[in-house]
Amino acid sequence: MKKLAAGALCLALLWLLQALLMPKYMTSTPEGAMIREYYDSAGDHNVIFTGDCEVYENFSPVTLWEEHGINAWIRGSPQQTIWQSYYLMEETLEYETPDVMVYNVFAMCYDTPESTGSQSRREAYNRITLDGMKWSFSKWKAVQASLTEEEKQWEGILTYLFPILRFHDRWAQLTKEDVTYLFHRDTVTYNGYLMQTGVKPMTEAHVTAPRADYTFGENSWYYLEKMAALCRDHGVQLVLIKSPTLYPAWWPEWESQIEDFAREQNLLYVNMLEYQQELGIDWNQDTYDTGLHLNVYGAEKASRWFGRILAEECGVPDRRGEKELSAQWEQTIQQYQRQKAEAKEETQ
Amino acid sequence: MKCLLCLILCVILSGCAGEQPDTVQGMGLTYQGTRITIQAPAAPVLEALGEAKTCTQEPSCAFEGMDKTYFYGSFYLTTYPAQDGERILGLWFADDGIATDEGITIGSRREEVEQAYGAFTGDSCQISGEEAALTVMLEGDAVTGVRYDACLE
Repeated sequence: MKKLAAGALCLALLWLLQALLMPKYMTSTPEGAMIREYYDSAGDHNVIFTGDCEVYENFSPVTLWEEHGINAWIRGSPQQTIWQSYYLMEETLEYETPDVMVYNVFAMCYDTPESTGSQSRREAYNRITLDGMKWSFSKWKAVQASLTEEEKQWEGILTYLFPILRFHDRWAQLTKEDVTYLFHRDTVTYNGYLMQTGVKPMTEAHVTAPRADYTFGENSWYYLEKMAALCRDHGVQLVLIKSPTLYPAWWPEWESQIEDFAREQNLLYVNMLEYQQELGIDWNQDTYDTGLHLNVYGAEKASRWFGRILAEECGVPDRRGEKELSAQWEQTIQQYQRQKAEAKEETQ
Repeated sequence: MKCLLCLILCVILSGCAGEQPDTVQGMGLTYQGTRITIQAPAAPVLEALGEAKTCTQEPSCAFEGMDKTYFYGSFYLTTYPAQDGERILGLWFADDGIATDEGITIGSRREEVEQAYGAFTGDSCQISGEEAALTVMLEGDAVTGVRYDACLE
């Protein structure tokens, strides 16, 4: 009995140590706190977005609600790969069945974990998406799909099962934040939207090196096809989009491949780059980082425009008449408007 | 049990750190007397090349530090933030004012590329090194693009 109690105490200590050592993503890199925010609100959304920064920076669910009565959530994360998006969709369907799933196709250009960048950066991005997911079979598969060949060799998967193995050397970098947020986190998004209020105009066009081959890879196609099948099997409409930001480049060769796929699969595909005038995006005002992402003013324009597509072409219902849901949104909107107003005051 | 706990704590609290070499003997080219080596520290190269015509910065989606693209008229040079400062991430040709060490540039003929790098099939020829890769792109018989890219671990 004594040994059992000592063992339990030992496990509890390890759990506590792990909770202490894991990054909290509160005062810096809030992107790392986004994926976990979904679970408390899951269950009743009509639209779920997945994808990289081109969704969580460029669409505001608050505007979708205010303008169209659409109850949406963005399950986005930085450099989210298509296999991660697929497993997030699969996991989402364990919690709810939305009318529409929206996938931003930019990440099709990353065919393998190795193709997404340097090992250190890639691993950090993987952590941001995967460590935020609750444990499930979908997470297990997402981790396996995200590991590089090198990581598989040294059994990197164990570090996702037991993050303490990865973050054990953070003890020297612990700050007050690690204690403050030991058992809870603040909310950093508005239904998955990470608000950016800065304005940094696009003064020069960004350039991208030409490629030898513009064909999307087999692995990317494999997951896009799985996405289409998953949505079809669950009666969910899959809508493919290319978000309206100008950089990194979206090549014409990529565009035609997605157009062909959408046609073959009978999917709606909207390349918002082609509707910039209609959207009303002003690259002097609506970006916080010279055109890579939209700021809140740009995201609201994009959402206003895309909300109409969701409502008119996909039949997503206007739910503003629902009292309980409207009351929940009212709280979110107040906080959202407060943050926007504070940011405006600071710049004046 | 105490020993076990101590052992676990020792393992998980032990730190580890990696270091990057100061110099990289690798793939690159020489432009107007300046040696540009992919993955080498960028500062001496940027100083030798002088002021770029343009410099754009691309922040990452979540982390500090920016990739930068410098334009020098005949080529674009990209850098990335490493622990020890900027390093060269890649380079691609904008016109025929720059050539690889083997003399290949925009407009070179397929035959010249094959003489320089050996026979290849299709519309591109790739030479892979440990630190970088060189890709020569062709349309028909003529080279239309040349790029060097770091192979990041």
